[in-house]
Amino acid sequence: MKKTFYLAAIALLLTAPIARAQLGTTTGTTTVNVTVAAEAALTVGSTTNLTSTGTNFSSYTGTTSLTYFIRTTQSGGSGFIKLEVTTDFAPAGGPSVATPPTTGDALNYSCTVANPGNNGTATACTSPTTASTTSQTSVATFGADNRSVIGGNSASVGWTLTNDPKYKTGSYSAVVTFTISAS
Amino acid sequence: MLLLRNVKHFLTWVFVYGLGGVVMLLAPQGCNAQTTLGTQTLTLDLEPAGLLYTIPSSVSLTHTGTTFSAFTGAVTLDYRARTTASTGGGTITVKVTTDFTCSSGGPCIGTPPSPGDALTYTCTGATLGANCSGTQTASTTTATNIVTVPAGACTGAGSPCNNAATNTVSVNFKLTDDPKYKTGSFSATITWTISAT
Repeated sequence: MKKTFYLAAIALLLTAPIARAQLGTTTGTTTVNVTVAAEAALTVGSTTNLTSTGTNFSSYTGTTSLTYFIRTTQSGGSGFIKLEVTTDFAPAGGPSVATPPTTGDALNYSCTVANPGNNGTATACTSPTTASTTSQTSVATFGADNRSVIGGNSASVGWTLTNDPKYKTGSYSAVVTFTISAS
Repeated sequence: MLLLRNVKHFLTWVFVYGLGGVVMLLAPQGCNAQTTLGTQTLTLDLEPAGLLYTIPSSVSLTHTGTTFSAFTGAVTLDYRARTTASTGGGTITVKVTTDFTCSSGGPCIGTPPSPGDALTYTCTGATLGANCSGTQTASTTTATNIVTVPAGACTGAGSPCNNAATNTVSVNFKLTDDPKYKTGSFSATITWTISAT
């Protein structure tokens, strides 16, 4: 018994320096983890001018171009692009989205949306859709596992604003806010 | 009679052990008086060496900032190195030894899903040697530089390397967040290597 103990003690004493030397290593590994989640982003031109061309009192038209980036969850995911008139036309006397000067006056739009590019299909809004100051209206919807290209995919909104003779002359501006979401 | 025998035994014990004690006490004096018989030269042949310590078992790359901004994460390595004077040198390198599961539709180092997709890194704060230059791109085929240790360098604060404190370097990773990646969790393995000559 004593002999075994002494041998063990000697072995420990001899191996201690070796064990210490093994704390370092010439190679080692690290696992790199990343969780890729649903995401969406959007770039929008800052200003769109609506102009009337052609016959008198034909509607004002213009186009807002968008570039969207989207990735929806592989299973059960979805996404959308919506817009809302967050600041109505001003100053007073001209067009108004919230309170049309004449029944039928409206800011309508149509949508052109390229497919995401890497997977999935974009569904553009029903044309025409009437913009609102009180609720978001659709530009496009996306299904599960929709993925855009790295440079983004294009979309555009074509505006049509009634040219009501009732409008006073002048320049009017409104703010439209676009929102993109993915889950 | 019994008492006398005990006293005799006691005196014998004192004499024997006392004499032994005296011999032990005097012995060192005798040693001091010894004549130097010769000298011995101790030589220590220090070989170049490099070792890594405290390698994080994992690092999570996460989003900071805006949507589709790159995933980022940082690793700090502890290392010790000693290189040969004049002609030596050392390096710490990294290589992607197990790629992300490319077939799963997520990030992929060997075959990036889109041009420009990459796992890149920068190196900062190397306390021995020089950080890697600029932004490096991690590879599955070649080991890329983290730290370059010059000749005649060694771990340890002060000069010449008078303690065993480890050196450190921080590696800041950045992985492209390509919209093309499918959602999910993905892992890759990177291997660090240190060498010294």
